Amino acid sequence: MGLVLAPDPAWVAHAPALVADVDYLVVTPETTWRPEGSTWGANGWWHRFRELGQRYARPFVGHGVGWSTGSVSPPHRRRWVEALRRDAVAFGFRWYTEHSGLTVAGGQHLTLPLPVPFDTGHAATTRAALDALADLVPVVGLENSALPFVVGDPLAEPGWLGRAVGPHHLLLDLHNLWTMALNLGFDPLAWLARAPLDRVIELHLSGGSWTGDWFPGRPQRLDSHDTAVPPEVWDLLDHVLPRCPGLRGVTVERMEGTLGDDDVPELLGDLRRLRRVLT
Amino acid sequence: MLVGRLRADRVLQSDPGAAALYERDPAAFAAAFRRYEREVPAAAFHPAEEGRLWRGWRAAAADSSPGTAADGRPPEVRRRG
Repeated sequence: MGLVLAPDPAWVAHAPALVADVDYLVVTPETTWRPEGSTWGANGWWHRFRELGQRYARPFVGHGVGWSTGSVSPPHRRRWVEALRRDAVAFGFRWYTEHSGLTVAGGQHLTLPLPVPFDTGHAATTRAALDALADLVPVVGLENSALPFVVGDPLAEPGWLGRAVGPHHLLLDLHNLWTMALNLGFDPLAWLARAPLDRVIELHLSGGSWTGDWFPGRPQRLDSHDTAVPPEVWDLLDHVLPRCPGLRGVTVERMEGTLGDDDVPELLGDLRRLRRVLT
Repeated sequence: MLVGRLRADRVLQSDPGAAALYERDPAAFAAAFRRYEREVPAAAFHPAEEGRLWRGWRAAAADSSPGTAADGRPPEVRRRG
């Protein structure tokens, strides 16, 4: 059972209570970087997170967003390889996961993973991106992103993920799945029935919210990691747990900037509920 | 729209001037950001780099259209590329 470390002073202030309840800590390396010439140096969070792991004797798992697994050799990778090689040693990642889709396209940084077509060519591109990551951290996985739209049938995604990961692993984010099911109108259990659950190494749980008045048209569910885990996602966890024989961990995510003092009991409640489910 | 909103967040987090403009006149910031988004490719990965792009764009705007930066109105700049 793990928890994503948020680069947020308010989050770190509550770290003693939060970290005590978990078995491993998840670091998103790019949140611990700062530009130093043509390389990525370590910012203050890099040191804070390592200290937390050492103080509480918790191992680390890596989880990135910006590798852009759907891109063919994007130019930013060179800087990433150097920084990830350093961090893989410094944090001793037990395994490392990345998101499906594009975060870099045409040289532009999109920040949010956007979909690639679920075809053979993009499966090969994604597989090559995972192979490159596996040169840095031997055990790697691909997360099903919370895609705002898809090219084609959303129920084609789970089979495509199986082809894309090849010998690597799958990180199954249950809130991402539920969010896409709501926004795109499909049955998450039908999606799971097509998914290579035997490849799942990690599960993610989180909450989210809905678009506000700023968004035109029908409200969209956002994978915003800013609320408690909703009941529907707990139900999905109950469904998949017995079907994932290679599972190594279940991780709870909470976005930086969304954890006030009043929210801490809610997050602790999620962690304690997860502990009960897993034991 | 979601990608644009995330980029606006990065600008606001990385440039105190942008944050001050947003607090003072949200409509002026929104108009300026829309022009920035059209004219400056999203080449920055790190928020600090995004902040530098934003400040460079604002400075170019001030140079090409004196007097507009101080009042917070969207600047007139030449389209790049």
